[in-house]
Amino acid sequence: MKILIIEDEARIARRIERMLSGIFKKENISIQMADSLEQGLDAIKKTQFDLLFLDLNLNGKDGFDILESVVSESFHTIIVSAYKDKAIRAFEYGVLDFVPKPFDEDRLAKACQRITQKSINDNHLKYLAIKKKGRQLLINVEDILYVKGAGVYTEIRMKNSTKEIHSKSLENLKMILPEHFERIHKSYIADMNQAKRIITEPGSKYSLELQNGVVLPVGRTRIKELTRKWFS
Amino acid sequence: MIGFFLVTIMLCSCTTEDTSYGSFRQKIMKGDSIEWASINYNDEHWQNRYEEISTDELFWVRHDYSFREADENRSGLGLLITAIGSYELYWDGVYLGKNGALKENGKPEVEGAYQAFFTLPDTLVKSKDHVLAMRTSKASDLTGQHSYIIIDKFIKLTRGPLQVSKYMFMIGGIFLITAFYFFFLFANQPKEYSVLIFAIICIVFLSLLMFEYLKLFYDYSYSFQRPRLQIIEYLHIIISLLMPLFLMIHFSFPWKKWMLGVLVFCLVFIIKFWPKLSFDDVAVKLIILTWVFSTAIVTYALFKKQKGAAIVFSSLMISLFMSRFIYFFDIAFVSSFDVYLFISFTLIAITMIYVMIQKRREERKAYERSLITSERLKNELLKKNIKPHFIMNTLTSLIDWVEESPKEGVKFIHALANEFEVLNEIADYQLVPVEQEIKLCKRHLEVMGFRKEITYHWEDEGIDPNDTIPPAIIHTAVENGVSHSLPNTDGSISFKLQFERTEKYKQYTLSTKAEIRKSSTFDEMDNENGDGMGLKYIKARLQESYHDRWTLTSESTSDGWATIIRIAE
Repeated sequence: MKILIIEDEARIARRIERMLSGIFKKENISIQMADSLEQGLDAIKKTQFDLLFLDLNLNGKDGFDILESVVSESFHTIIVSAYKDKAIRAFEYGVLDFVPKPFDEDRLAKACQRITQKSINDNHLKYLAIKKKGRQLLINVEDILYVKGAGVYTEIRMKNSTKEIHSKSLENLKMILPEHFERIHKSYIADMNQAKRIITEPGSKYSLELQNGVVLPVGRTRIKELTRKWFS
Repeated sequence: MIGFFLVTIMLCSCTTEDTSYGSFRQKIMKGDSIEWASINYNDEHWQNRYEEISTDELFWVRHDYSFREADENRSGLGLLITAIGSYELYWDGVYLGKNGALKENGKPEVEGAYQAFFTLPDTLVKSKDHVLAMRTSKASDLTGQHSYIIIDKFIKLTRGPLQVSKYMFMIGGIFLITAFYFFFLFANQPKEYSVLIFAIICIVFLSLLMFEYLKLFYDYSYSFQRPRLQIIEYLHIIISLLMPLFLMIHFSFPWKKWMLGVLVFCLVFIIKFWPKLSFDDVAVKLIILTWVFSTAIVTYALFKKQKGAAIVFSSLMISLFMSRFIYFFDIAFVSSFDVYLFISFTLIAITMIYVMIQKRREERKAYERSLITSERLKNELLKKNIKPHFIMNTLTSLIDWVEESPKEGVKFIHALANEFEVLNEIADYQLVPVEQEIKLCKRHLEVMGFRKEITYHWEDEGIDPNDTIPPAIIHTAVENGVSHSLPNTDGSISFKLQFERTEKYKQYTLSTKAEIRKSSTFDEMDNENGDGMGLKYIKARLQESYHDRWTLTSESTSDGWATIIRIAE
């Protein structure tokens, strides 16, 4: 696993590094450090990371501009910041966790565990940052109808029938999307608030009809759980 | 408003009855003969005008007087005589009385009063034509000579002027109290010269009023009339100078000396070089001069949209309007010009009081604002080190030090304690000794050294230990340097504070010897809290203590950054 730490406080960066080595004992991890945003973005261009630890206040700059540019990437972002009051906003942007300073190894380990979880309960995602023609764009989560996996990328279908591409995988997106976004198929995540009914077709074929008439396939292994959770 | 009110009251109370009975014709002859008192004496060969009369000789003045047909109710009449000289008075040859004692038979003159009242017995006014003869001597006051007589009801003659002057004395009271108020105000704020000038203007108004109406309550001798007029002229001159000066200071008129020069030139011209001016003429010209200059200054202030300019301007315009209006009235034997003058003065003075009080209020507000600013800055300073970015990062590093190398951790704790200690010492002051400030910077760098694991060097040069500066401004500049600098190849960042003093200014230069981060620009050169308060804090502190006498520049140099704070002496 490749991890990047963007932190301008040398001592704290080294602390994170040291603790990560402890947390991911058995796994093969490589850690890179950057002490400024420029350095960090350079590293992101060059290397495909799996996880980013980001300080929200780098060399006197407010971190939300930075945040927008990293959450659209394929990897997960964990914020390590002194500004606890900014946590809610950070979650709205789709970060995996927010670790307030000062922190200890337990807290950092908890944050790392989220990578392996299927979804996080306390997510408050409101906007999805996507890259479009080299620029950052924030789309409102409420406007999403369903998400379709397309290899390493995902296709996001909006209520107004437009399509956006996101760099995160379906698995990674599922983790940060709110709970009413349900994995209905190995290639689909649907907004269950928009669901109308389950269609059963001959040959144990199942589909989900959305309120606007769109029909999405439902995985055979998922039908039981889906019906129990959303249609009983 | 008050001025109009007063004028209205006066006009109402003074114009109810006709004044003065009939008319006079005046003849003069040097010499002395008791026959000249007689109504039947033929004075056709007498002169109509006064000529030079020596202080040693006696002379007679005869006033012919005819009652009009309409003047039927001729009882209780009296004479008001205004004259330069001592005299005996004869009505149709009948001795009425005397004012002072004549210079004759080797006895010196006892000076008569400038104004005197005599009653006219009803028995002497039955016929139509009469002669009033004055046997006169004038031992003092050679220049000029005049006497005029008013016949009217005695009670009206004596009390009429008081009807007008009572308002004038009321106005005098206003000026007296106002003068006291502003004198006391000046005593408390000795640098405010406009306050002092205004107090003096009030006193001069009061004096002018007293001297103008002196004749109503003080029987001064005729020889004092000339000095009195002289004093009134001086008072007018003072007002002509002070009123424009006051307005110039109050409205921050930019060309004060130039304006004052022109004003003095005009004054000297009117007083010294204008041909043949009577005291009254001089007064009128001085008042016009004062009005023109005041209006010019206030027009400027109005143009610049200064507070209070409009109201002073309107009072000047009202006074101009009244000057056209008030000459139509004759007010109870008191010169309507004087009345007009004081009403106008009062009106202008009241608006001046208004703008002064308005200014006081503005100052008060500004003072309160400055207090709030000071409190806010004090807060800002204290907040510096409890802001999450500083305290949480410091604590995180601290935990790490304690966990990894406890001995160093303890040193870190001491460094932090030291910084807080200095910060606490300086927080309450607007200015602190520069040595304290340097101590704060050094201790901050020590803390940052533990956090960033960069060696920070501090150097200072030419510091005057007695100099004071606002607290934590250099500290803030150091914070900026720490946030925006990359260490040199040897892993260090150097700060150098230099002090320089010339006759015109003192200057602190903080040089940061380091590589400045690519993205850092001057606008962003802000403190580590990233909330844009760093440079703002420095500027606000400088403004608080030095008003507009400071400059702050921050620029890149060949080996880093320089922050330059210059304060004019």
